Amino acid sequence: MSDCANPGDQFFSTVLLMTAHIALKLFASLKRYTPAQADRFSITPGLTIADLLKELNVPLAEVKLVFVNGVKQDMNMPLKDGDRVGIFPAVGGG
Amino acid sequence: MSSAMIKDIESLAETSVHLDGQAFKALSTNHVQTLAGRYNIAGRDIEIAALNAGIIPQRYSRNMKTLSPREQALLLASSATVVGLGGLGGNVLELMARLGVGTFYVIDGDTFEESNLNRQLLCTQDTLGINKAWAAAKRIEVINPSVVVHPYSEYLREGNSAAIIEKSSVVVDCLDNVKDRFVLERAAKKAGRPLVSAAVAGLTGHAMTVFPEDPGLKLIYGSPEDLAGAGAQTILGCPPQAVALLAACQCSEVVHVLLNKKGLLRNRMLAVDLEDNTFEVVTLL
Repeated sequence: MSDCANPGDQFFSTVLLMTAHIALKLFASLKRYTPAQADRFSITPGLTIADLLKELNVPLAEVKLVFVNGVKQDMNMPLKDGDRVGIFPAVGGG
Repeated sequence: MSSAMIKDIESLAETSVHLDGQAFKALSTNHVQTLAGRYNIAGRDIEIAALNAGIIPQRYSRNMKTLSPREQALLLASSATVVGLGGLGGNVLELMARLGVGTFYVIDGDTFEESNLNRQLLCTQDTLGINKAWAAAKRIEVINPSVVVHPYSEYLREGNSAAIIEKSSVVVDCLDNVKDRFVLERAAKKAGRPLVSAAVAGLTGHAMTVFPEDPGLKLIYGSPEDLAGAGAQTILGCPPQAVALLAACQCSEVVHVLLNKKGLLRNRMLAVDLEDNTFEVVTLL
């Protein structure tokens, strides 16, 4: 057995750090922008919600409420692995 | 309450048995109406007197395991303003009248049309073309003549809403667009009354409760100045299952407000999506 770490392990850890998965839920009229595999959507850790929405071509003017893990958040919040993200447009009918 | 009236109530009360075998003294709907006529008061006042004497009006007997006689009497002594009598409003009113909220102020200047038939309980083949507030008053009369309803066949405006709202304990926002919701919120805050709001677009909906000192609807919609359009319902419509569900949530919140219960959706929002059965309470503040 060698005391030296396998260089391959280090490479693997770095790759793990560079990707994170979030669960993304777009509500009402924004549903049409839902990407494939939204329940386990790959992002670069630290990506902000605004950047994520731009990447998905969601019109930011239509986004009225953003929440992460059940708490309302600013669009500039950076995302991390395991975050559950919800996005609401203005819903006003009855 | 006169002692003669209490004696009348007690003499007409009959023993009834709940589904679990519990015996209780009950007053039938016919006797409530007879006594209301005899003493020239609203049926709900007879019912309040009965409840205070430990007698359960039979029409509320299936409420008695979730509402104490004191709580049922409190609801009957309370009043609610329901603004907008479409999908949400018709359902909310139906539930609250059956539950036994005592007084309603109902506001809507609109008339029923065929596109309302999918979700609006007050809209039937017979009420097409009829004013919604008038239809609401008629519906309450046939569901529960003990409660009192004041219809206002007019649209909500900055000028007219506060005077109506001030008369009631709680305001229920059942409007169909975001802009008017902010008008109503301002009026409720001005009158110092809590507002229970819900909205629907397609299979998505949300509900929240706003007290006068709370930030309120801007937590959900952002600033009213930045709003463009009435909301996503103009694209997605309003199917009945989402509307009825959110109306039931509003009714539940009204009970929480009137009985001063914990667990209110205050500075929080219930988010619902029936497409994938999402139910989540979001902390807004």
